[in-house]
Amino acid sequence: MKPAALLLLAALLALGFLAARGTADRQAAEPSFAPPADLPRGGLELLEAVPFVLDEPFVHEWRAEKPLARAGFLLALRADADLARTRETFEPVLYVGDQTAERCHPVTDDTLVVLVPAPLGADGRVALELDSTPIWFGTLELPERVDAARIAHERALAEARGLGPAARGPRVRFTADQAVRARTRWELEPYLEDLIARHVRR
Amino acid sequence: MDLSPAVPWLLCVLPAGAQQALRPPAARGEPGPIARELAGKPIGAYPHFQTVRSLNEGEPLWIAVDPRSDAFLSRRVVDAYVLAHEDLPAARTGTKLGQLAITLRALAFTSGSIKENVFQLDPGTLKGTARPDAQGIMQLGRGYDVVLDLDRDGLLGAGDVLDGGAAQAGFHVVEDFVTVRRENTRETGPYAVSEVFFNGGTTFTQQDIYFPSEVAGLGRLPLVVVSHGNGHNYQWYDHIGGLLASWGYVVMSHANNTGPGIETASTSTLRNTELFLASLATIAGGALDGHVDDERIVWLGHSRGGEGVVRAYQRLSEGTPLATRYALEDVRLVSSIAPTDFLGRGVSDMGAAPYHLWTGGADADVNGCADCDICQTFHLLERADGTRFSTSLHGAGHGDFHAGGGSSVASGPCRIGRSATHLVMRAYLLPLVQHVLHGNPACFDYLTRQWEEFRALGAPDPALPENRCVVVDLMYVPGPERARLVLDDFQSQPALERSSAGGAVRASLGLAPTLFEGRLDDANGSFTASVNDRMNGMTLAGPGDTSAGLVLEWSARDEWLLFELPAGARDLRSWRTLSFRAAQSTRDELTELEAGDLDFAVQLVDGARRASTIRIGAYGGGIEEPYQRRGCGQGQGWANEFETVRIALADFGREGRALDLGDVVAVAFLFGPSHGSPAGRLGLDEILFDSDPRSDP
Repeated sequence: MKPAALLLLAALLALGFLAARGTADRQAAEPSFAPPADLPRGGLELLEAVPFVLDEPFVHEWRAEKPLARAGFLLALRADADLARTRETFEPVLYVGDQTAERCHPVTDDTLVVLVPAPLGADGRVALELDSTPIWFGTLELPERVDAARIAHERALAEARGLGPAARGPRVRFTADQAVRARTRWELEPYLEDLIARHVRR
Repeated sequence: MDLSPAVPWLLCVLPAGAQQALRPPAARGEPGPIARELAGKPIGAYPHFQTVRSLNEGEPLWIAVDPRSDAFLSRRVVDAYVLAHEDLPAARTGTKLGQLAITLRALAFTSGSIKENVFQLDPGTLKGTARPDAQGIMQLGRGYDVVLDLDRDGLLGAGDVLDGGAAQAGFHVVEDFVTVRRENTRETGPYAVSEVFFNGGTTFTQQDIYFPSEVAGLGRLPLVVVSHGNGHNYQWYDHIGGLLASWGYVVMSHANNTGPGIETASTSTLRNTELFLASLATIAGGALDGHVDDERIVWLGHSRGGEGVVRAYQRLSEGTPLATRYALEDVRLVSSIAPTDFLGRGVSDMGAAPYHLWTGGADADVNGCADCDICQTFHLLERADGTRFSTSLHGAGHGDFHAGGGSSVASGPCRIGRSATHLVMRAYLLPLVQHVLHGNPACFDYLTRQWEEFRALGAPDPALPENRCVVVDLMYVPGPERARLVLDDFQSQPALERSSAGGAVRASLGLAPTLFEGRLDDANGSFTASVNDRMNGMTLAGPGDTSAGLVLEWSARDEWLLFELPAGARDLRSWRTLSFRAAQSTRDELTELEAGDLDFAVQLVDGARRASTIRIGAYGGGIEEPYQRRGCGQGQGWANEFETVRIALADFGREGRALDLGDVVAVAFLFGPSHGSPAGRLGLDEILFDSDPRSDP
C-alpha cells in the first residue's frame, strides 16, 4: 500500500474512532435515573420565595395525612441535579422544616419550583422563616406515604448531618410581605408558571 | 410420516390408550359443508402450510388441502370460490356461487403431500377496507370465506368444503391502519379528528380530548382514558388520540397527579373519568353528549400512571365514591406502559378485566433491573387475574412511548427511538382495543402471531436492514374467563414431577438435573449469570408474588420433557391451539453460545403411541434472544423476555400423520441438535390448549 493510501486509511480510522466515541459520549451523557444514594442531602440554594394566601383551602396531597392548607410559599430552588431530577421510580422527598414540598413541574436540570404549605400567623403573614428552616432531600419514599412521624425521623437524620436552611442566592427575591392572594389553588398556576419560566432552563 | 420417534420414555411407561379408529371427515358434523381451515400461507418446514385468520391487504391469498389426511380430497378437481363473508348466507340458501364469487378457480388436487396442494387464489387484490359497526366505529378487516365445490354443481352443499361459517369468516383482509393518512396529523383511520381541551377547574382535572369530527352522525363510542407518568404531560399522547379517534373512539388524556405517588395517580384516573362523563354536556359545546359509551371504557396509563390505572381498577372493585357514573364492569381493558410497581401485591393488583402491558427494553427509568423491584413491569401483568397481553420492544426507552419530545430516557444498544416505537404502538393498540371491546376476529392474529412472522401493514419489518433493531416480543395468555385447558402453569401444582392438570411430568436423563421450578424472580439483584441463581433474569414475580415457571437447559445432546395428559383431558378436538410461553435465560453461557433465536420442537403423542412433531421455528420465529443491554451486573443481556408460541393442533395431523386428537396422551418438548438449537437455556410456562375467542364479549 502506498504511503498516501496508508495516510488516508489512518485518517478514516481516526475519524471513525472519533465518531464512535462521540456516539458513545452522547449515550453516556444521558442522565442517570437510578435513585440517588447517600441521603439525606442538602446544599440547596434559594432563588426566589413567593408567599401565598388562598381564600379556599386545598388538600396537600404530598403527605399521608393530606392536610388542608391555605397558605405557604412558592419556592424556586437550585439543587444537585441528581437529587432534583424527576423520576418514575423513587425520588428523594423534599422537606421544608416539618412539611413536605410539592414538586410543581418536571425537573430535568438543577432547578425546581415547589410549593410548601405553611400556617398563617396571627399577623396574617405566612408563618415560615426560610432563613432558619432546614430544607433538604430526605430518603427515598413516595410523599403520599410520608406522615408526621416520618418527617420527624427525617428531620433528625438531616440535623445529624448538619443540614440547615437553603443558602440565599445572589439575586434572591424574598417577598414575604407581598403574599400572592388568590381564591383557589388553581389560581396559583400562573404564578408557578412565572417562577418556572424565570428560573428553569427549558 | 413424522420421522421423530415418540420419546422413548413414553413407549415403556405410558399405557397405550384405546385404539380409536380415525373418523372419516364427513361424519364429523351435521349434513352440510365440511369445515376446514384453508386460508393461510406456505411455509418451508412441516407442517408446510400455516393457516391464518388475517391477511394484510396486498398479501396473496393461499389455500392448501391435505389429501393425505383428507383422503376424500385426493385426486379431485374442484371449483374454489372466494366469497365476501356477508354473502355466505345467500350461498347457504341456494344462490349460485358463481353469482357471489369474487374469485373462482378450478383446482386439481393430487394424492400427495400438502406441499403439492397449495394454491394461490388471489394475488393480493382482496379489499380490507374497514367498515363501521352500528355505532359508527370502524371495524378492522373484511371477512371472506372459501368454498371448495367438490361436486362442481355451483352450489354450496353437503360434502363441499367451507372455510368460514355463521359465527366467523374464514379469514379477514385488513388494510393499513398504521400509516398516517393525512399530513400533519396522527390520523391513520378514515375519520378526521377534532381535539379540544377541557378545564375541570383544578391542576389535575385538565383534559385533552380527541374524537371523530363527525361525531354528531355516530352512535355511542367507547372511551379511552390516558393517564400519563411522573414528569410527563397530558398533552403528550397525540399519537394515541389521533390513532384511536380516527377509527371511531373518544380519547381523553388527563393531567395526572403522579408526584405524591400511585394512590393520588389512581385518584386522578378515577376522578377524571367521572368528571369527563359528567361534563359531556359542556365539553366541546356538548358535541359528545350522547356519543360516549360509558359501558365500554379503556384505561391506559404510562409509568406511575401505568400503575395508577391498575390501582384505580382495584379501588373501583372495592367501591369508591369517586365513580358514580361508571362501574367496574364498564372498564373493559386496562393497559400499562412501562408501569412501576410501588404498591405491590394486593394493592396494585389487577383484577379480572383483560390486562395489557408495554415494556421498553432500553428503559432507563423503569428499567427492569433485578435490583429494583419497583422497576419491573411484568409484576403487574402476572398479578392480573384475567386474560393477559404483553408487548415488549427491544431498544425502546421510557420516553419513546409518549409524543412529548425530549429524551428517550433510554440506555442500551440498538435504540429504536420514538418514531419506530409509535409505529409498533399503532400496530398493536388498535387491534388490542378492537379485540377486547368488540371481539373483532380480524384482530386476533396481530396479538398472537410472532412479530417477525406477521404484523400490521405499515409497521416496521424487522427483515429490512433499517429495522434490524425493531424486535418485538408478544405474550398472550388467555384467562379463566376464556375457554382453555391448562396443562401446566407451574403454580397450582408445585411438584416438579406433576403438572397443573394432574399428569406426570418426565424428562430425559440429561435434562432432568437441569430442571428447576420456582417463582419467576431473579434471586440476587443482578443479571450476572450464577449457578446459585437458577431464575437469573426472571422479573415476572415481585415480593410476595406467586408467578412461577420452569427453567431447563440442554447442550449438544437431544433431550425431552414430557407432560402427560391425565385421563379426561385427552380429547383435544374441541381445542384449536397448543399455546405456551418461553424465554431465553439472559447471560447464560448457553444463551450466549446460541446467540440467536432458540428453536426446538413440540410433539403430541396419542394413545396408540403415534407421534407428530413440529419445530416452533417452522412458522418463522423462535424464542428471541435477550436484548443485548449491559449493566445490572456483569455481562450483556437484559431481562428474560417471554413470548408466546401458538401451534394449531390441526397442524400435527398434516401429511397423513395418523395422530388421534381425540386421545392425546402426552405433549413433549424436544430439545437439541435433532430438534433445533443445539444448546440453550430456557424458561417455560403457561402450557395450555385454547381456542380463538369468537364471540363479542
